[in-house]
Amino acid sequence: MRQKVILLLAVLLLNLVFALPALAEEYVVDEKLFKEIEANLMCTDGCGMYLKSCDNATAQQMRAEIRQKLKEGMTPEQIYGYMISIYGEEVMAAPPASIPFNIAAWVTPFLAILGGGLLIYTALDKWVFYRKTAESDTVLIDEADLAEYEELVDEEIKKYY
Amino acid sequence: MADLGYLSLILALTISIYTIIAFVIAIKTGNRKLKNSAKGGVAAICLLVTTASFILIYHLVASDFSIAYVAQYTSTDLPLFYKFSAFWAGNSGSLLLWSWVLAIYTAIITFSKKHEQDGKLPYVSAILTFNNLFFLFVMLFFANPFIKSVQKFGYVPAEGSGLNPMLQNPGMVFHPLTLYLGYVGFAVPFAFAITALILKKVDDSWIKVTRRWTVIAWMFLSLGNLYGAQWAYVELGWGGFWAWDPVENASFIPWLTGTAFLHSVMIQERKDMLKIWNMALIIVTFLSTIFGTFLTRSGVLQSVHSFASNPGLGTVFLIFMSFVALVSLYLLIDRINLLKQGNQFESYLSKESSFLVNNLLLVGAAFATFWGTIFPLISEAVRGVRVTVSVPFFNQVNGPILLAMVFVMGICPLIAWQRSSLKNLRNNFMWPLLIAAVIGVVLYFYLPGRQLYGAVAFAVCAFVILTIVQEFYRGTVVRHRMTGEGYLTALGRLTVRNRRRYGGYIVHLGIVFIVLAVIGSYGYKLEVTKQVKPGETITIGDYTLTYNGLMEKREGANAVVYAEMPVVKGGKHIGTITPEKVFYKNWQQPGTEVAIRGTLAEDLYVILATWEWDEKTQSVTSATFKVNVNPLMSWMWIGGYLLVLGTIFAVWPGKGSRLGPKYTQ
Amino acid sequence: MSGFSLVLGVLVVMVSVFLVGYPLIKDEEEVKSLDRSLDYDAEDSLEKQKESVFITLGEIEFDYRMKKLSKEDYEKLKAMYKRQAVALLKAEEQELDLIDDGDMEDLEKELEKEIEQEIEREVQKLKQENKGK
Repeated sequence: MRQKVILLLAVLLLNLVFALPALAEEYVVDEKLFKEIEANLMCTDGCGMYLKSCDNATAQQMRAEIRQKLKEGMTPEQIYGYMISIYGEEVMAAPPASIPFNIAAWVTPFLAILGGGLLIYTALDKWVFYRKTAESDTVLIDEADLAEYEELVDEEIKKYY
Repeated sequence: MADLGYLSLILALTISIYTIIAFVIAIKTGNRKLKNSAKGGVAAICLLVTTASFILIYHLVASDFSIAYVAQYTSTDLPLFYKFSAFWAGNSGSLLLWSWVLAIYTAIITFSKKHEQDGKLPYVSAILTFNNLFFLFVMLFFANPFIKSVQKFGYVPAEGSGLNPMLQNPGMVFHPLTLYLGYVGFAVPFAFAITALILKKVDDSWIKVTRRWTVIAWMFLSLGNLYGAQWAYVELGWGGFWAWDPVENASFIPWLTGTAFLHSVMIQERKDMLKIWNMALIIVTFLSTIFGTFLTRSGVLQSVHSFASNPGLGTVFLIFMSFVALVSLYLLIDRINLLKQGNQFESYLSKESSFLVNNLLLVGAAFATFWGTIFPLISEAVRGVRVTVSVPFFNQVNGPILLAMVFVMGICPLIAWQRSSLKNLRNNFMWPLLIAAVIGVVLYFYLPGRQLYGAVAFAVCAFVILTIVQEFYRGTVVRHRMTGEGYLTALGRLTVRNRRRYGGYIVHLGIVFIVLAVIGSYGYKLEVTKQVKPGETITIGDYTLTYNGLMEKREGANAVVYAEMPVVKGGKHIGTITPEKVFYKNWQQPGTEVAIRGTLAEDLYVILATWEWDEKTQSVTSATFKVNVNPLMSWMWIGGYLLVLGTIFAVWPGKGSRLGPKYTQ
Repeated sequence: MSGFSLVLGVLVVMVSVFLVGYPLIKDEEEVKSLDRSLDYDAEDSLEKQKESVFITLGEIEFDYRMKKLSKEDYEKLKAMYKRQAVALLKAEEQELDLIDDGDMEDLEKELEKEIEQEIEREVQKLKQENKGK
């Protein structure tokens, strides 16, 4: 641990020389990044809760761990990797897409919708086609009658608005 | 008394077997006496299950701890209201509630004047009774609510273990009740659908007869979900309202498919199409209500909602579900030729086709939810590795689908039946689309974080609201011109005479409000967790809270630790907020009482997380608070009320409640 | 088991048995007419048809003015339903005339015609049902 800190300090010093503005970010944990990481993990003591919404001891410890790793300069990916190496894949709140099989989890719903969309499209195609070939029927009335009743109809309609 | 409750259930089980057999024979032979006897059986089951329920309530209220269920879920100091609500706090009690609601529904259907002369009635009653038979069977053989403490624990406890404090919340009283009213309500259209298949009478009469049932069941299911969300929000203290827990998903799936069903049946009513699809939807909806019950009781998936798991119970539910699924599927396939549609579509662009898209998205979301829920099982079966599928997955997958859904919700009502043209679309959509786009752009730059997703989502909501407003506005103006009525009269008559349509719009508006709350609280939430010493302040957004130390008080048997924090917003004192931690006499885990100061714009949400105790000075040195600002949260509840209002408006009987007339070219 | 619950138990069991058993021994009640054609008649009555057609006409007008229907479709639909409306109005007028005049001969003819129509409708219905099967 001590060695690590010394190493870190050394890195920091080097950074100080070469990239002064980066200093602040190295010391203070980026809260936004922390929240992002927290939002992708589960609490691991079997409470079944999302880490963000869990408040028990395990969750607290896991948060401390994330902060620690962030301070050590790990990238989010590295932290996820570290968490998985300790707690297993279950620690991730969503199946990590880095494992090929898990891609199925992400892609299947959209493929299903796409398939359904194609199905609807072909069905519409068919139905509209049928319609075009079908005949529509009309009531036959001679034009004289039509003219005679026109006004009456217009009058009647108003009752039904 | 408890023996009597048990006896009632046994008798109810026996009579339901008799009733089913009697109905079947009556159908086969046309024996009217037997049919009436079976109808009497339905009444008897209702009476018996009601008796059993009242007996359980009596024991709960009387704190009779010789009954194991009473000892497990209540204590003498529990308020009467919660003693009563403990009825559905546990596994066996909630099954009894289910059976009770189902028995009442069955009796209403069986004795309704409307169905008296209908040849379908014996079938429907028999199917519903069969459904209840299953629940009675489960109760009697796996989860008897009347089991004695002596049998279960070996002794009679002097005091009960009490109700989980988290369940002592009005939301938790209404959440299961409304959810069950909704779940069980879908059994009715399901029974009518299966009857239509059996009788090979697959016209839309089963849909017409059950429309009110379906709509009201849907409303209760929506309410059940909303009460659940509200409960999680005010009681669980993690700042959210929906965690995509398997059981939440299990109640969301039937809501989605039920919503799809409500819309797609309109096409069958108008055009006599989509018969297979509607049948499939109601079957899936019914099955998914059972699936939810199965999930909570089997323990196959990890969930915060689980009752004590009982593998035997899970197996029985699985067998029942498979049975229902197989029989339904067989009927559906066997009758498939009857269900082939006769009519056609006039155009690619019409209300009908937009309904197809709406169905695709709703069912797609339902599938995505189901898929995510069971994916851990699939992964374990295939790879042997258990993965978690939780919030990030569902937000990322369902988010876009549901947003597209909301967008379609704005389009559907404005397209004409039969045929629409680009010109019509331009006439109807240009202004809402333009204004919504402007709103989106403004919000993108104005709101913190420059979030594209959030701005687009808000713009979509604005679009839908504008189209709905436009519908009301244009409708009123047109009616005014056509009839010469004053604007207010025109608006009133317009809506009252087309209740289905305008009730539907009100429901849509309610949904958009709920969506607004979801976007606001997910995308624009502010969160601060801070450890403070007395006199120090916490600043979040425009708010500044001052911590002045913790205090303690007693509330009945419980000890309450709380902080009174003055809140200043924009330099003005706006009140004090009091987050609490409650220590219960007979419950291990302390409870969090969230302090919420809600306005229409945002909720200030404060949780007392923990505090540091100094042994030397015997005092609290500092306390840690979790403070959130959740924008637009109130709109979720407002939207909920609007949804109920719109539903009631839409199903209100009498003139004007029918489907608008159809015209075909 | 206390006395009260015993009484309640006996009561509940008795009522249940009664509900199930009584219809079995009860004399067959007068069979109510299962004639559902009555319903259908009401459905097909002139008044109902008229209401349906005129509401539809109103709806077409409404949709057109809401700019949901194109002019071309509107005119086509309107002409079509107007024809139906005229036919219905004519039929109604004839009916009224009949009652006013009390012309027995005409009434008989009209009745005959109606019966014929009714028969034809039934036949059509049966045909359709057969088709459905």
